[in-house]
Amino acid sequence: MFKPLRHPTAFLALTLCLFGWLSAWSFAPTGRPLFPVSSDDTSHDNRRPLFWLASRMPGPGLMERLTLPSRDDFGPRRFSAVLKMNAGTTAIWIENTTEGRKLGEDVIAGAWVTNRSRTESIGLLATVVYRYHSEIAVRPLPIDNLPLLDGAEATRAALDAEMVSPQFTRSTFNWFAAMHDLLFTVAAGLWLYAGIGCVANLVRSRNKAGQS
Amino acid sequence: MFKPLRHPTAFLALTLCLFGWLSAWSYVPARPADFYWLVASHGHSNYRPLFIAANYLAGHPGGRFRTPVSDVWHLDRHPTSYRAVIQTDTETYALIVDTTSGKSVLPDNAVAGARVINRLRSESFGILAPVFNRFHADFHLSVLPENSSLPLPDEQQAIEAAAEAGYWRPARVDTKVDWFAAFHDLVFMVTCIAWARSAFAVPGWPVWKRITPKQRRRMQGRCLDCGYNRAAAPDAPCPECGDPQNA
Repeated sequence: MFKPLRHPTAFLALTLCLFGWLSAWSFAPTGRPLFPVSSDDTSHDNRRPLFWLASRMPGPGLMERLTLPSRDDFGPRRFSAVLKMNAGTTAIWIENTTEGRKLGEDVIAGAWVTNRSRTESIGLLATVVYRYHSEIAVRPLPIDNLPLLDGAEATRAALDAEMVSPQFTRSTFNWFAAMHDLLFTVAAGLWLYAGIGCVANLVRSRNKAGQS
Repeated sequence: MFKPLRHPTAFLALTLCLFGWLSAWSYVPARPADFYWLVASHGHSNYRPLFIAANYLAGHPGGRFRTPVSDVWHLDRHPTSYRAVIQTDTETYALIVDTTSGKSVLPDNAVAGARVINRLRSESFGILAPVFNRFHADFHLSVLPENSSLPLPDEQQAIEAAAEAGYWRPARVDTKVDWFAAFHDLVFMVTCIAWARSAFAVPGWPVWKRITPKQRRRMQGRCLDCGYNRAAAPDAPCPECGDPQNA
């Protein structure tokens, strides 16, 4: 049934198809955020071996090459700050760090509490499983000489004030992507069969020519 | 040379590959990567028929890839500042208006005012990949958001004032050719030709002659009536049932 695929023409046609199919994936985004976010806030891991290969093809789709502006290029950012004072702990939004300098003498310690997201895409070429982890990160506020507040205390205060979301992990499964990857596996199998058969035919025909 | 492509297996293999190839394009953003940033919330036109078709087939007319709702989106939709030109009795000047301050920028003697808007549009041409990318940028004047009843200033004077402040540049059109995308589309065309060559052979497939039991018996040289093997004497009446069908 598969014997015609062993002909060089069929093998060449399949090679073209698979090359084109892979090169189409070099135009797809790698999954890292395209909008200006600090790399401290988000990270993305690609666990797609063939996509990794495709995204290294020479082409414009290499979004990795783009020099994107950072979050700080878009003006001052807001800090979700938890401050410890003599009177107790308070969670407030600080519009920028210059405001933070005016906080007053009674601030003993402070922390910048944010949600940090880690995403993972798993598959062969397409993202079959997408996993999203959101966790709470406690970092020092960019204010000179302000000691860092205890992590647990800062997290509790930020959660109570609903400044950050609780930690969670969510996974989504994509059937279309699963079908796409399955089709690619079948196509790659056919290509391999065609390639092996084509080479075997060539070797056999050479041997025959040599014998005669 | 192309004879092996006429076989059903080759046709099915090529169809599978082309379907997968097209479906891969439904994961690609509708906007080309280079301009993605600039045009994230501005106009983009796609002149790539098969790319649009691929997205429609996958049930995602706008592309499976969605523009992420981000801080930029927010900044763009709800800007905290904008560039403006104010014309008074005595002068015309340009300034940046901070919308968060809540203070009016209009002096009492203002006679006209306009907001300076940087308009960005992009276009991509090709079959599947963006082979030609065209990017247009120009500036234009629109009414002031804080006082829409104020008339627009004299265009020439406004442009001069904005240009002096560095808020106005001549309109520009950049066109880029993407050679990798061109190569990709060329390979796709060659593959489509191979597939078409393969598809033309579909009506001639032997399988169509073996669909009904009668067709199968005829192909196998058996009696159409009782199924007896008549290979020994195909032209004589059937020795089993006497059917003279092929006699």
